[in-house]
Amino acid sequence: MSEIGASSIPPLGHIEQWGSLALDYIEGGLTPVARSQVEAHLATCPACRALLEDQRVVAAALKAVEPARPPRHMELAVLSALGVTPPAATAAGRPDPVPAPTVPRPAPALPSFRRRLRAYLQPHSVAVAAAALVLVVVGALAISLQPELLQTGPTGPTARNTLAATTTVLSTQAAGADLHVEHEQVTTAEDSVETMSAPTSTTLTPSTSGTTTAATSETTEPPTTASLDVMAKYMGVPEPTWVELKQDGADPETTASAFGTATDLDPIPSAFWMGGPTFAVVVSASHVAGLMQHLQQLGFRLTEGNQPADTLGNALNGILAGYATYHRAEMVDDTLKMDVDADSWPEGEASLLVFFVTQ
Amino acid sequence: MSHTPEPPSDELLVERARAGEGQAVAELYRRHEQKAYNLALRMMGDSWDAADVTQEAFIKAFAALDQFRGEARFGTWLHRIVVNAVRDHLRKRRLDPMENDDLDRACAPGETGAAGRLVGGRQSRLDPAADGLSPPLVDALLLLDERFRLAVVLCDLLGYEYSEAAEILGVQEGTIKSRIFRARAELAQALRAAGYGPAGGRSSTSGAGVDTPGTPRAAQPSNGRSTGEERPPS
Repeated sequence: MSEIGASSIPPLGHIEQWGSLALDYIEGGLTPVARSQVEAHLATCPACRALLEDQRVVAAALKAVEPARPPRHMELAVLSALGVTPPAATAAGRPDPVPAPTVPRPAPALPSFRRRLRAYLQPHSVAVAAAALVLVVVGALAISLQPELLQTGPTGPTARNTLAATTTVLSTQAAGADLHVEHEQVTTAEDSVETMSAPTSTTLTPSTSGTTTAATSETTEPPTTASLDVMAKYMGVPEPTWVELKQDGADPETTASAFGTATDLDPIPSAFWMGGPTFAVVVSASHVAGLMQHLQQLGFRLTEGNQPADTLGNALNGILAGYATYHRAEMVDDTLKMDVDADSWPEGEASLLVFFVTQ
Repeated sequence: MSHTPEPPSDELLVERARAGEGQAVAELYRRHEQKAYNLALRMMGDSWDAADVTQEAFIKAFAALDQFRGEARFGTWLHRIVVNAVRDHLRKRRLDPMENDDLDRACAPGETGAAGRLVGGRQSRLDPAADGLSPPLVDALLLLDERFRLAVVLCDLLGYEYSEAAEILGVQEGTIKSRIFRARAELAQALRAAGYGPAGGRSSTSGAGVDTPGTPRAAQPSNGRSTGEERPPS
């Protein structure tokens, strides 16, 4: 930036209007022109000088706050849940291993912990049999639980080997700093009763729609979808509804683009797409019908999505892991109002809709 | 176990973790544990909740390690997961009054705004298990709007660059900066109202300020709030 005469610099208003400049000014990150703009204003405005000083003082105080030391039990919990035996504390230079918290509040009980853990397991085997949730490890990373913990039913070890699905389990030798990792082929049928009793979603049905372009099947849902519902439920997110999106005579790109325009949604990252461009939005259940009708009026054909479990799992995992963002939305006067404050929605009221375009 | 002179990069460790190497998982955990935990702690205000959230986020992240594609740095990706876990928990806490630690403060009579609430309910926040008595600054932080707090925790407390925080939160860098500006301004106001004023110009006193936050200056309860009126009109 070349020299500009001071007289040609437009004056700044008060500091609230240039907060981010103020941050850069404090840190010395402004161009000479911007800096002289800031200083010209500060020279004439004591109130802004004081506010700038507040910024400086608070920033310095915050930066001086010592980080708190994480509780020791956390590492143990995480690593043992992941099947990793924590190395000896001293080996990693941890000076003061605190054995356990002394505050009389119990650590999370194992059952809920295991339940949570299972929610992260993503079915990706092609050999998924009906009526069973297969424990499959995401990628090569293995989750190891004590073998007996995998058996929740009274059947015990006999429940194993009923499925031709492969699970890699890391088993670690307990004790000792040296991690001994071995791979083991295990087949596991999880407690299918709990899985299958998950409520299936019926929110897709437009209650007053005249045209029945939304082909919903309320009676039976694929078991794989049910298991994903369970997964979502355990993770505390609204249960997902999978909606296949089509437009007559339009190619997927056109459909996706039209959908994006109609809803103001961006597709989730393509790594998590299901077949084609995929969108995720959380709406209040009471708004689902309105949204569906609105989309139908715009010429979208909505079908209950039925994709292989690995595809669903991949999309859901991406959404839940925060790698793909989703929006919270509600219908206001036939338009989808995005990123509303969903905190006022009653619990259980929300529904996660995953729209995907197919060929 | 031999000590290698050059520590392996996060990305290398991710590769090894994916290949099933438990030690790589442990090392990744170690590297990021403190920041992740402090992020959760400063957002949740309670060391137990923070530990729950952090461990949940780590397990989720490691289970989804396959989906880490190196488009962001591992730490960025991980923190995104922590932030989401934090938001979910804060939301649940708001929805479930029985779990709401803020209840006593929120119900304190006759107080409005962050400044007043800080004065009224300071003790309820103290969490000896976390890191000793929290300084008033850290308490005041908990009364900020969640979005402002996230920005200021990431950058001012955890030392992230604005651009990294922007990437973690999925907003523009300018948005991060203006949130931090707002956050600091509100913190200054809350502290001043609580009698811990920054030594800034508009306070009548100078010297002892936030540098020694554990030592309240002579109480100036009503002065504090009136300082807000000296702000320039916007």
